[in-house]
Amino acid sequence: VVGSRLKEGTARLAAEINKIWLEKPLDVRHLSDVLGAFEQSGSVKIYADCETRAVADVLTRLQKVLADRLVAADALSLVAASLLEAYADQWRRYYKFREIPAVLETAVGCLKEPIRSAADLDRLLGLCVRYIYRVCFWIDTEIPWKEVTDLFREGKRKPARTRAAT
Amino acid sequence: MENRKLVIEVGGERAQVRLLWDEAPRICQALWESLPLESTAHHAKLCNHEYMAQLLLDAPAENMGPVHVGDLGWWARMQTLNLWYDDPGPNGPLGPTCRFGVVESNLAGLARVAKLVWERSGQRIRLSRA
Repeated sequence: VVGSRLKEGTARLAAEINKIWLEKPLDVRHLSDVLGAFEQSGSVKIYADCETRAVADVLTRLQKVLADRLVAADALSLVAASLLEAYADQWRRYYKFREIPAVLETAVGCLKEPIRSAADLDRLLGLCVRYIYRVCFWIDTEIPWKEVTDLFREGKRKPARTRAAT
Repeated sequence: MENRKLVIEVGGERAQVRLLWDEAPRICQALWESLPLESTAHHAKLCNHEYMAQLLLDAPAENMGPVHVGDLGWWARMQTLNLWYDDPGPNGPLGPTCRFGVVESNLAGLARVAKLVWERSGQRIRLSRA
């Protein structure tokens, strides 16, 4: 049962990656409708961008922990499950994502078994990284970087700061 | 091996890349076998003069070292290609990078299109065999 769930889970993740590879996910398209403070979506998009990037990065750290054999695969599998489950729930509430949390929950189902093979766990975590980082890149397209540049081009507005002597 | 070169197309520009087969054979081989690849290009946020593209490619880290203008790097953990079209600036690169290629034609074109990549993130990028 574990093997078949893992097989189905990895296949689903791979299919979802292909689905959003060159096409922006619906959840990301809808971010403009998710209004945060003062009824704007900019802060929501910036948070979503940073948070997806950070989660993908943390998963790669877990892969390193696994590669270094600091923790047994089954224990790490449960840690990863808990982490992804929490973010699936959070992203539903914070960003009104629907499809993305469902994909994460597919991975959670596999991880909760738990996965005892380091190679299988590494493969699944790698797919999660690829999927979440892909989502992050799509969120990046929602942020108006030209306007951000105009707002924050500090070096053009004032001389470089010097660190005060202490 | 020397004849196996890469073509990058982004924002209407086309550049040719010499792959560093001797220094980064595993990255070059994995990439070569996966071509053609298509993705989206995004400008780096912390470093200057760098853009990146996530690739459907599994390749290990190798040939880690400092980068130079025109280098192609591989960020194995995030399965992402990095391209430095000019000096990485005072805040970059953020660490040693897996170098696997050097742009040998039309680096100026890749630099020209960088502003578009920054301002309109997600420009389509295509990698193929020359």
